[in-house]
Formats: sequence, structure tokens, C-alpha cells
Amino acid sequence: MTRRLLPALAFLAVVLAVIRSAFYTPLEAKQGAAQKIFYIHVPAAWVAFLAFFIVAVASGIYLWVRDPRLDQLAESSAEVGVVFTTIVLITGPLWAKPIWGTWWAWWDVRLVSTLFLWFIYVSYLVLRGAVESPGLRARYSAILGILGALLIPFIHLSVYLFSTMHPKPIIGKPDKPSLPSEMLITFLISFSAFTLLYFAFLRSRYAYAVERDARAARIENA
Amino acid sequence: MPWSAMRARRESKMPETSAFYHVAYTIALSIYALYGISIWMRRKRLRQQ
Repeated sequence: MTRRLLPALAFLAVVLAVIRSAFYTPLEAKQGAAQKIFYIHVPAAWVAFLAFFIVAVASGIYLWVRDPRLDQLAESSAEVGVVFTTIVLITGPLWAKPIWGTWWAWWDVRLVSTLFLWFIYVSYLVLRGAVESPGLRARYSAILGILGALLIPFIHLSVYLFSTMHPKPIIGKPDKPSLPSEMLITFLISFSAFTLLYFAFLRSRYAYAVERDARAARIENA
Repeated sequence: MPWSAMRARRESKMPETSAFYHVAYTIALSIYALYGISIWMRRKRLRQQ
């Protein structure tokens, strides 16, 4: 029962967020409908950062205590994080084209560093598929998982450190959010919905990793 | 620059940017759905082996 509760809640929350954004949120005066991409782009970026942060924490503790469950958690969170980063990299250009007049800018540090983050964690998943020994695989990928997450604070601060086309945060900043309350409420609903979706994916993906490794161990011992 | 709201709630008032919004939501929600299905399929296949 509880196994299905989280995915069901996440599904309902995402449906609610999409309906709220489509029908009950005003358009932004200058950007029009394209601004509504904000409600999926920013939560996806937040979840990607959270996912890779969890990879780094689980990997760090794994290197210390060598508990395979932490390696399975890191692997699962990395895969889910790659999915959310893919969404960021697709929705970003789709928002940029009508507003900036271009899909992508190779000189923009925020954009390129996010792409680099995606490559690091895709490499992480490729590395896991390439090393056969479970112990070595866990150790190598733990190191890559920690190193990759070091990029997250840099990506977050890149809009302050460099001249970029990507705007500075509208919400995650020291002073109050620069958007009307109706938009803020929609954002908070989306933010919660996609965070819930992350935990639903993580839980299912972790359960898969545990079942797969248990099965592999049974075959090896037989 | 702070964002401000228009009176209109639907994109029909500004159709020139609505296609990007629809494509972005369609792609993003499809990827989430496909990923969810892929986890479910992998677990199902594992149990059937």
C-alpha cells in the first residue's frame, strides 16, 4: 500500500501543478506563455542539484563505511538526476529561443557548466556499466560522483561571477521574490510536485537496484 | 527585472510564444512518464527471470 502511495501522490501533485500553471496562472506581461516554462525548468534544475548532492553524500559515506546500500542509493540518485538535468537542458533552450532570440550560447557559463554536469553524470552511469567488479565499480563511481557534485555551487554562482545571458534567480535570492504572488504559488506547487516525483523515482529505482544485486548474488552463490 | 502579470490567463492573447510552452511541457512530461515506465518495466522483467 505505502509502496504505491508515493508514486500516486507524486503523479497527482504533477497533474495539479500542470493544471494550475496552464489554467490558473496569469501570463507574464513581456514574455507571454513562454514564461510558463519556468514552472518546469526551475524545479527540474533544483531536483537535479538535490539528486547529485545525494549522490555525493551517499558516495562519501560509502567510501567510509563500505555499505553497498549507499552505492545503490548513489547509483539510483545519479540516474534520476540525469533525467531531470536532461529536462533542464531541453526546456532551457525552448524558453531561450522566444525570449533571447537564440537556442543556446556557447559563451554562457551557466549553460555550458550545466551541460558539463550532465556529461559528468552520464559518464558516471557509463563507468558503472564498464567496471565488472562490484567493489571497484562502487569506489570509482563514488569518487566521480563526489567530484561531479563540486560543480553544483559553481553553477549556482556562475550568474553572479560571470556575465551571462541566463538571468539571476527570481526566487532563490537574499531579498524577496520578484514575481506576483499568483506566480509564486504556482511555482511552489510545481517545486513540491517535482521534488515529490524525484523521491518517488528514487525509491523505485533504488528498489530495482536492490532486487537486481540480490538476484546477482543468488546466481553467484548457486 | 521583476515579472508582472497580465490580465489574461491563457496563451491565446500571446500566441507567438505559446508553441514553445506547449512543446516544452509535452517533452518534459513525456520524458518523466517514459522514465517512470522504464523503471517499472525493468523491475517487472527482473521478477520474471
